[in-house]
Amino acid sequence: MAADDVLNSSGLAGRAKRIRKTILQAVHASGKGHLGGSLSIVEILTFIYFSGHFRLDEAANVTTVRDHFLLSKGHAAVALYATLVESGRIDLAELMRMNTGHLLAEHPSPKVPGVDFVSGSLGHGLSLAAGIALAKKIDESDSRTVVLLGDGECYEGSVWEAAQFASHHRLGNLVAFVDMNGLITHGRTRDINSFGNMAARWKVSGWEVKELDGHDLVSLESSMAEPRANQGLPLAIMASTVKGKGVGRLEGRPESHHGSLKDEDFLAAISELGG
Amino acid sequence: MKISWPLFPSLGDKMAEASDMRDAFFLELLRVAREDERIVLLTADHGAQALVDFESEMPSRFFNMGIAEQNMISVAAGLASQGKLPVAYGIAPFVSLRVLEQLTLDVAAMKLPVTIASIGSGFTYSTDGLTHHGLQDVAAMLSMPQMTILNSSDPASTEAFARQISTSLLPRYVRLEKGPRPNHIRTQKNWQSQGWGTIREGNSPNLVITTGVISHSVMKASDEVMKRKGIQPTVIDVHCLAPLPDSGLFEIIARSSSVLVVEEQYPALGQSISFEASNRKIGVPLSFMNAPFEYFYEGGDRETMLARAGLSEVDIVNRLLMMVDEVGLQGL
Repeated sequence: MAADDVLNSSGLAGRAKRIRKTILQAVHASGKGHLGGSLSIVEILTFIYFSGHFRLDEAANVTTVRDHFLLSKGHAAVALYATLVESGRIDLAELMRMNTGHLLAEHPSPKVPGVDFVSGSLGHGLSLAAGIALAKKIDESDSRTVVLLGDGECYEGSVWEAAQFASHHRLGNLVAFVDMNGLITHGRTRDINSFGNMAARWKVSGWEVKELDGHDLVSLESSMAEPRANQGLPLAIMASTVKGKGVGRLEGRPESHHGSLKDEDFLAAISELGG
Repeated sequence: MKISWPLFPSLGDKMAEASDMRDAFFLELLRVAREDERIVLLTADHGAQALVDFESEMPSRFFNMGIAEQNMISVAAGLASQGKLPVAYGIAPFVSLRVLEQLTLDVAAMKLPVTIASIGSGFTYSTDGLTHHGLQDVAAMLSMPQMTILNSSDPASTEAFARQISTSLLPRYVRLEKGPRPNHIRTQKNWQSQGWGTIREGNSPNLVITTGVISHSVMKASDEVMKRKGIQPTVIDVHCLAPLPDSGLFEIIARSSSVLVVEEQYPALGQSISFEASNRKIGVPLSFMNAPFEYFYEGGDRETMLARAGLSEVDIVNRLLMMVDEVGLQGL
């Protein structure tokens, strides 16, 4: 069976579409939200949660091995919430009252089912993930830790402290996805304060690096094709993405970072996604 | 070839006799870690004699993180989230101010049992200049809900703090001190749990509340006042700066004729006591001796810097004399 067929049969594409739609609905209901950087990570989250490569099942508890996921770019919380709605951890109704004094804020807290850490201030997640991975290595567990960072987040120096630490200690049980949408709030990273070659930065920090299209579920699937040794190098996946992906009027625009769509634009966007 | 802490030889058998406050902490930590596999020691490339023994005995639970304090704190939080009991060690300003957000969000807000072992309270590193002074760390840490702050004044207190790591699973900031100090004799048996201890039963109605190693200067000053006047205040050492103890401390404050708070840092304990006394409508006159709210750009030995801050033993004697004299005047 071809890779496309596998994805279709496992329903990943359909899940990604539903998650994207749920993000739009939640931000529209709230009147504001981090749309651009949430829409750019939909396929990455879909892959992490539903491809079967990571054991993020809520039924897992301390007596069974489970993997860990951290959303380090916490401003994309609504994408995580929509994914947790898709997995059944959060009710859609709860998400639709985001930012109204109930459970869900624009950045995640550990009060939310399925969320392990506070995030929203950038540059913490990779260190936290490295700590989890180190604990698992000490315990000789085969649990893996996955963390998702933004490329703009990589301006934070603490990211590189953590990157160096993880490779030095050969935390092969650690996988970092970098959402390479190339934009921060006020423009393109390459115009504002260029990273140069981001993949090379991770390589020189001692990581195994893969570069792929972060919206292509087949490419994401292929990134996990080879078995990984928990004693090897940590893996960084440079996922090229488009900020605002899936909504024409938002795609590739820095102003999609935060806000909401007007009613007519929202309806058009839903229609663009196939209703 | 592995080069391990060349500045510090192993303490070996001498460890059992360590009166150095910092070594007493790490020696006890090593003992606790032998029984409790959850304990993991992280250092931001800062040494101590007793670390040599920890590293050589438990290399798989010892990590020199390099000079990367932000990463150290968040890695510690990650470890703690998986059931480990990490102790993260470094110089006071670098494991408090520099990592304030990591401590707030990753440790305190998550209520994870991470212990920050901080060395260099007040003017410990007096000659190193203002980058190394520990005047601000407690004031900063007090801004953080759910963070226990423990300040040591003798080897008995640092040992006690090390023991608590295994039994009381909380975020905690532990201030250590280097060098030997005699143990205070505390009259309360439960001083460890109540967060404070009386170290001098006075014969005047005045009360001095102090914290950290400056308590030894307060004791010497109190001896001097006793010698000159035949009267001296009661002295209490508060080691738990947050949460502020309520086990009897404010009853003693309320019974006193006046209270002086002495601390080798910017106002922290003094502010907490003043705030809480006000909340409790305690009208006892409070006064304060602390580092003035300014930067100390100079480097000098600790005595020099304390004198510049108005915290020398002579300064304390003079304040205590004023205190006990006020009692005399009130009695006329």
